[in-house]
Amino acid sequence: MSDDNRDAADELIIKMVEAERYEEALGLDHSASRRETTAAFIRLSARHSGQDRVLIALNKARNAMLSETGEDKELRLSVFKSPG
Amino acid sequence: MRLKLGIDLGTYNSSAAVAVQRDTVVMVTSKEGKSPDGKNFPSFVQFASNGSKVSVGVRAKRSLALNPSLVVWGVKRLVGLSFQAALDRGETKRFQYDIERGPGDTILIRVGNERFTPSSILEAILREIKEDAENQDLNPLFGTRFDEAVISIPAYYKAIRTAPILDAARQAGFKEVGTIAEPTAAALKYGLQIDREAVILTFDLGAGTLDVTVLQIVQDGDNLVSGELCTSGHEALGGLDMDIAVRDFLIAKHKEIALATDKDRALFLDEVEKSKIRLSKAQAAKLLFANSEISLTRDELEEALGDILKRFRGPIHMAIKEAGLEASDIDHVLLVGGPTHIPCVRQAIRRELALLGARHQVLAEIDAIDQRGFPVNPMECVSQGAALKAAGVITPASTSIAEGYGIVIGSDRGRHYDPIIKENSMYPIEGKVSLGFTDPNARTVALELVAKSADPDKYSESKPVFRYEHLGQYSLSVVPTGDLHSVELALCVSRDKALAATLTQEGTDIHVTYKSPDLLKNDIVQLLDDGNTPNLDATTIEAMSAKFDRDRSAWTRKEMEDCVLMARRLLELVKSCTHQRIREGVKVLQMSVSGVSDNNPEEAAKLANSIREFLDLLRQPEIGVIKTEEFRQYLKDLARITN
Repeated sequence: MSDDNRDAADELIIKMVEAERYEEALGLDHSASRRETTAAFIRLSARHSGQDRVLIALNKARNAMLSETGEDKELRLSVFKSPG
Repeated sequence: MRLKLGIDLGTYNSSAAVAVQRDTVVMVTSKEGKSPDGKNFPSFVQFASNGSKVSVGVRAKRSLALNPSLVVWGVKRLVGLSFQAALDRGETKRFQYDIERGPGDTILIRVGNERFTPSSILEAILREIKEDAENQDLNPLFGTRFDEAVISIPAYYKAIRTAPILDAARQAGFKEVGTIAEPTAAALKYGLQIDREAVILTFDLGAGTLDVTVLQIVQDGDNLVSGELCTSGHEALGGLDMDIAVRDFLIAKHKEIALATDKDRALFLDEVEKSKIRLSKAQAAKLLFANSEISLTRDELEEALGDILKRFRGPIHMAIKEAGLEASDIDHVLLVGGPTHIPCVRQAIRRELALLGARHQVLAEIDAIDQRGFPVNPMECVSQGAALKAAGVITPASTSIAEGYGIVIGSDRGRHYDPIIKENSMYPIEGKVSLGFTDPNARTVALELVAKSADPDKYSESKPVFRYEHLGQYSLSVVPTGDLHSVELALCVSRDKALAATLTQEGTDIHVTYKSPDLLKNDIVQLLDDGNTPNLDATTIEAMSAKFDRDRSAWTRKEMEDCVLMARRLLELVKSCTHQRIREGVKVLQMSVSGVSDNNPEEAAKLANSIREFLDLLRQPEIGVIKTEEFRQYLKDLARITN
């Protein structure tokens, strides 16, 4: 991956997390199990091990996904709208 | 490959290893030979009566019974603690050497006329390890200077306890020093061995600390990568506490045991430790003391350790829950540390896992240790894992930190904790909070920084009990700006697990940064409750704002009208409020409402943001118009309106 592409991938993860699109940031679908969530988190943390901003964003996504209730998740997903 | 040391700096014993190749990790030989329990460098330093250093390691340990006040050991239990905290935890009474209160409530160890910090004792141990590793006669395979090392640290140690250990390593001559959590180091060594995806629970019971960590190994392309998911434990629970429990049990049972002097106490405790080790294999052991012989059976040992075994429950339950997994997700349990040789310790761990619903295969692995032994050497795997990390063979992709950090906020309802960094986060991590101070003439503002962690001894899934430790009150000299002082507090936990707190006066370049060594109080503070519910931190709110901004083109007329109604409801709520910040907020919100009433859809997103900011203002403790729960409900209403 070129540096430009890597930077773009980093920024995309950060933006996805900022928008609370956690599943997309971690490359998961909305029905992912907890074990799949933690696995995706570790995989991405390893790939972005040098980038503190990405690690902080991934951590935020993981924390939010693992601590939210079913109702919270429903609310989060319902608030989200498609761009444009 | 440039060789680097991996060091397991233990409370009672230390060991070191070097990864000379990916598959070959070699233990460092000590000039004084292996200690009886399998580690090469006992963490003991012997002094002469004038305070000069005599020996480090095996010889120092052997001299303990003869001169207990001149042998300093167990210092890992003291490092990074304030004197008061050590006093409160009973650590100052544990050892026969003198411990004094130093400047700034620090700990000083007095031997003769000399005084030593705990860090300087660790420095002596680390220097000994470094010198022996570099000694070609002892370790001919290495033949090099070691300028770099990775030191294992108890996973459950708070950030403020790590910094003095790193300082000690640098003072000992290491130019570059990294850290790794002890259970993670062990799991990395084991992970290389099993070489497949797995969730591993490591139960690491050392002489001074208990760490329970959940680590997951996942496939990423052709590689396996691993990461910590959660850690829990006790900062002060280990083999030393077991020795004390067995000693007290025996004293209560055998009235003939008289421990009149420090020397008697040291000798008897030494016998207790040896018998505890013998009972790992035998059904009964004999203690020789003052010409008498006392018998101790396995059943008696279990009875003596009963209260300690019960304390395993909290950390095991917490680690699995906070990792976000179920016990049935665990594929392997890895037992580390000398006390896991004791059968009743293994049975206690097995019981808790069975209660939680761990799979039969996992329980069977624990049972199999009796016949087949441990899958990795529980005394060596930590230093070996540290060596693998030092050599870059395998590195954890994520590392967790058990405690959270926040500030204390006072209001008419009492003192509350306002979180900035959530507990059980991964580091590096940062968090910020912006605070308003009501006195515009103040020249100094101060914040009280607090660490929050779940109390493992009072674990309850439905209602966890938290401990709040005071890290200190930190101040910033501010300049008048003609307005209320607004100060930003930024907290950061670095990759080295070092905590830094930066206070900045907003709108100026005035700031001050405090780093871990300064953050050294450990007093337990009493707070009413959390000032906020989880997930309502500043970053969550920022994320919601970003969402409103992004979606501005998708707003409908109905959404706009509902937003305006909500804004008007809030304006009505504060119409009699005279607080200056509220009046300023009202002006901003009224302007946003006007924008939308001009039927400009693009202004709707701005209005939603203004409402959100206004709500944030209303919930500030010094303003106190709405409570956290109301704030949360308003935020939900806002989210529904914009759906």
